[in-house]
Amino acid sequence: MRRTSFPWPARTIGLIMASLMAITACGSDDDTGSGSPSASGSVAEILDPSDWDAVVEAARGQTVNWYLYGGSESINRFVDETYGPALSQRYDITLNRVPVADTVDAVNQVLAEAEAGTENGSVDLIWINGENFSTLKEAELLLPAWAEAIPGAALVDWDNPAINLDFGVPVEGQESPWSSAQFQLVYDTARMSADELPRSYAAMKDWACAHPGRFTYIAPGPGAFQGTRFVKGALYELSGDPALWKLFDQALWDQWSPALWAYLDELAPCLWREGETYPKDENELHALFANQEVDFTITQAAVGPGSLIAEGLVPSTAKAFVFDANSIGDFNYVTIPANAANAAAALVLANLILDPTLQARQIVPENGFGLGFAIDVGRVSDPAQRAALDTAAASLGDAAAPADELARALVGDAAAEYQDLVEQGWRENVSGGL
Amino acid sequence: MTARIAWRATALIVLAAPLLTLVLQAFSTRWFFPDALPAEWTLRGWRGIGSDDRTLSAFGTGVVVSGAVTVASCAMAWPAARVLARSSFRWRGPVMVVLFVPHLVPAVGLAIGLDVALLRLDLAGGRPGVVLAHLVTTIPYTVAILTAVFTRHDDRARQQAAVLGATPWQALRMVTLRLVGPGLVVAALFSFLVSWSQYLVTLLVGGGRVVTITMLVFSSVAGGNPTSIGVLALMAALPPLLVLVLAGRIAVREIVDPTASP
Repeated sequence: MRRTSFPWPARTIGLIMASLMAITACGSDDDTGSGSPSASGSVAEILDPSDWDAVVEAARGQTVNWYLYGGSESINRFVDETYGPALSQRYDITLNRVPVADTVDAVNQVLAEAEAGTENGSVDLIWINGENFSTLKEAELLLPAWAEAIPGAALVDWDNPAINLDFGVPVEGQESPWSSAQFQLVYDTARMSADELPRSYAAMKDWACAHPGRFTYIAPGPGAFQGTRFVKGALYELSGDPALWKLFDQALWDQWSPALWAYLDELAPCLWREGETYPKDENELHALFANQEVDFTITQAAVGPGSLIAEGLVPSTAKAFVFDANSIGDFNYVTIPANAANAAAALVLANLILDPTLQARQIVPENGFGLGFAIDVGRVSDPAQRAALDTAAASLGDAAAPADELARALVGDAAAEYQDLVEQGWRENVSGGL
Repeated sequence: MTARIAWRATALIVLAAPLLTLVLQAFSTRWFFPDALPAEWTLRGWRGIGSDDRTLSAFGTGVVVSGAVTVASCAMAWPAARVLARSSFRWRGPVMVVLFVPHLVPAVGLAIGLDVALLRLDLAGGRPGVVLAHLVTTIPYTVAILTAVFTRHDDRARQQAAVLGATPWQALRMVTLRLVGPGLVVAALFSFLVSWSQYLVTLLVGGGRVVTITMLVFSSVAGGNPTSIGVLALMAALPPLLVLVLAGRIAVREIVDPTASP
């Protein structure tokens, strides 16, 4: 009896497991292009971006796995409809857009593969900026010095510190710009007229305290750079000169940070929920704004809330505006991990992103992306392309802030060291250790 | 009687309200405070993301992966549970603790750890790897449930059948499965639900090549578009709901009338 007491399990389980593996295995690799035939551990060394024809040839038939924040449906659609067809038609490359809830998930994948010593990495391209870039760069896990060597780099103003520094970290050709962003506020024209708007941090505090609970900002912290940026702008205004903050100076920080915390502490009781809690990201703030709990939200897009309106996230009467000064602008990028299995296709895609025709497409609000140009329009010599860019720049829609006001208020980001100081100091001094 | 009806109605409302909100969101846009009900109804969500090729294939991938995980998880837990259920087995406690360790560490740690381990074994980057990784999270539940089932199960019924000339297959099908059936269904249900809800493990171990509907829900929630969230969440809720109803019916029938034919 003992001998036959387990009649079913052993062999049957083995069979089931084997057939399950077989079933799940088929179809799982058919559309991937993972570990492409020519790829080896030294892809990065073989590829020379200055020999562009060889890169394009190597990329033929590859699938580029592009990890990007998948939360915006309009951006997802823009990527699928713009880059997907262009890649397949012009270069015989398949685009596999991998949606992640947070870019840090893609960073974790690269770190895990480094830990495991994987040579044919699954991440080919990441939409990235700020601390995620600096994490990968410090770990030396990025493809070195390619961004200034691809053909499209000729259209990028690499001498601009807003481009060659990412949150103050030198880019050194390890990422290539996709688009530009600038800190702006959004109001609802149905609730407020343009001449009532506060146009400085001082005026914002007065407005907030005259309308208690109707304003708040995003809690500064990793992954919520818009909040950090709002606080940095206040630091610029208080110190009176944004240029002071380009290089790191501890004494300067010690001199001005008390005034910064004093300003934010005075502002706090006038905020939504009396500053006891803050929205953790843009989307929470958009929802508060859309549901009329607060009267302002924050955006970084050239089209203002144009894409948000198209997606139905905020009322169609929303419109962007900027303070008279201290509106921090920067760029966002794509980067290639050093172990990317399809690095050649990733290079082709990073270069395609800089194509003037596609750059023109990306800023028009109807197309759903809505962030600004990465390229310097002045460097585009082809008249047709130049015309397309100019037309696009003139069709940002009614929700966009006036271009001259944006340009007048634009300032660069502070040195990288201030990022942590602002975020940590805010937690200690303003939020009371949230 | 009326009290009982009122209680049931309240329970139903409390349980159904969140789901109802999702339904309203999925069919509307620009639903802002102070509107009690959406003012703008639309099928845009369903025509767009709801019928997108990527969404449909992610739905299929999710069903295949979680289905495979469920079958494998029950099959692997069965023999383990039979041993653990023996009164002579002294290490039940420690074994359970070890099995549940993956649920005690932070989710990110587990996901990265599994990813690194499976990458080293060259199993990451496809569905088989994702199934293996999910098993780590589902097996504790199936083992715990089946152990409880087998602890109460009297194997002599099957032995009786064998004595009376039943083949092992007949004894399993007509005796053992009838007796442990409801427990097995509950174990399968848990396994499916736990596997279905994985995001980070799927993303990392799948290497971006295994995209399930749950991953789409997670990235969509991060973006905060209520229409898309509603559509994707409803789609993602469908298989678990179906499994739940099915499991409920089978389990109840088996308990109420163990002689009913399956």
